[in-house]
Amino acid sequence: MSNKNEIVTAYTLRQCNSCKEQSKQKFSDGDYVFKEISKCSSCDGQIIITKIFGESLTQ
Amino acid sequence: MDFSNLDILDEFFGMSDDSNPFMMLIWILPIILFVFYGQRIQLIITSREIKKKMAELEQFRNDSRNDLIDYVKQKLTPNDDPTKKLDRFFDYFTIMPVDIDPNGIIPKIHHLVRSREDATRKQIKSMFSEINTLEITKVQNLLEIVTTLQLLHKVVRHLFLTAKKQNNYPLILPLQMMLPFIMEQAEALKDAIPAFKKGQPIGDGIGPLVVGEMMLDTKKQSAEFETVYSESEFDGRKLILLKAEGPYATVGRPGEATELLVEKLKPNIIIMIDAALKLEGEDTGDVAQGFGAAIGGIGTDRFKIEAVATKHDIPIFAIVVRQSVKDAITLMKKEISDQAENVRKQVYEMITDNSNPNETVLVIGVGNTLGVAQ
Repeated sequence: MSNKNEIVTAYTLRQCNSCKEQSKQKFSDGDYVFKEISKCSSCDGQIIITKIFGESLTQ
Repeated sequence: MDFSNLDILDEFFGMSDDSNPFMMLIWILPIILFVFYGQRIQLIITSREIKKKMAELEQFRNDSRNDLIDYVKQKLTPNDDPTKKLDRFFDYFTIMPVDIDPNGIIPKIHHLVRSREDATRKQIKSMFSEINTLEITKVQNLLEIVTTLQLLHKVVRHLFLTAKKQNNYPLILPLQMMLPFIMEQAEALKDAIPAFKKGQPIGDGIGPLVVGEMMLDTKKQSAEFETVYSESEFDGRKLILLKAEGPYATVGRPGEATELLVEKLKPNIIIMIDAALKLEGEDTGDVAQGFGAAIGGIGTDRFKIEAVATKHDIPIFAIVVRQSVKDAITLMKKEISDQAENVRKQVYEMITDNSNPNETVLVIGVGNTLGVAQ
C-alpha cells in the first residue's frame, strides 16, 4: 500500500548533446523525453530532454 | 430448622466444585453460540473490513471518473457534454472467445482486442471536432483506467453481496484473501492518472526510453500502426530498432511489426527490453537478463513474436528492469530512469556476445512510450 505522506515531484533533465552540460528543472507541460529545447548557450550544441522522472519526498 | 449449613452463593457461584451448574452454563453457552453462530459472527466482523475497502474502491472509481470528465471538458474541446457518452464507455465489456476451440483462439483474441481498440479510438475521435493523436491515446488510456476501476468495484461488490445474501461465510473467504492485492492494483491505477494527464513517462516506458535514444539521429519509418523502426549500425552489425511511436500513450503493435521486420530484414537475433514485475524483496530498478520474449499484455503479441522467431530459428534474448505494478504505471521513478544507460550498455554487450559482424540484430523496446519520443 502507498505511503500517504509521499509527495512525488516530476523533474526534467536537460542535456546539451555536444558539451554534455546538464540542468535539472521541474517538469512543465509539453515536456517529453528527446524533445529538442534550444541551442546551448556555451557551445551552440542542441539541448534535448534526456530524462523525466519522479523523486519522492516522505514527510 | 437450621439453615446455617446452606450457602446459596457457594452453591451456585462457588469455584470449588466442578459440577457447579451456573459455572457450567457460563462455559457451555459461548461454546454453543460459537458452534451454531460462529460463522455468522465471523461474517459480520469480516464484512465490516470489506465494506471499508469497498467504499475506498468506489471513491477511487468516482475520483478517476470525475478526473477524466474534467480533463476532457477543460483541456480538450468536446462537441457537446461528454459525460453521458463517457459513462457509457465505462461499462463496455469484452466477451472472450470460446476457449475449447481446437484450432487455437489466439487469432480470435487478437481480432477482438484490435476491434475494441479501433472502436474506442473512433468513439473518442467522434467526441471532438479536432483532436491530436497524443490526446486520443491519453484519453484512451484514462478510459481504460476508469473502466478497470469500475470493474474491480463491481466484482468485489458482487462477491460481497452474494456472500451476505446467502449468509455464507466460506464464500467471503476468497474475497478477503484477494482484497489486499485488488486494493494494491486499484491504488496503482488511481495514482497513474496524473502521469497520463500530464503526458509524463511511466515506469513501463523504460524499454522505449532505451531504444528511443538508440534511434536518435536515424531515419524513422512506420512499421505498423503507432509503431516505428529505424536502421543503425554497431560494431559491424546492422541494427533494426523498433518501438512504439512516442511520445504517444501507446504500446504500438510490436507483434505485427516484428512479423513484418523479420520477414523483410531477416535478423539473426532478437533482443527485447521491457519492464518486469519485481518479486517482494527485490529492488525497483534491478536489471536482469534472460531468454524468451519479454512482453506482457494479453499474450497475442508474445505469441506472434515467438511464432515468427521459431519459424525462422531466431534466438530471443531479454533484458528486464524490475518494478512493482504501481511503479510500472505511474511517473517513472529516478531509480528506473537511472538504469537506462546501464541497460543500453548491456544491450550492446549482448549484441557483441551473441552475434557476428555483418549479421543483423532486431532490438525491441517494449512498453508504453508515453512521454518518450525517438
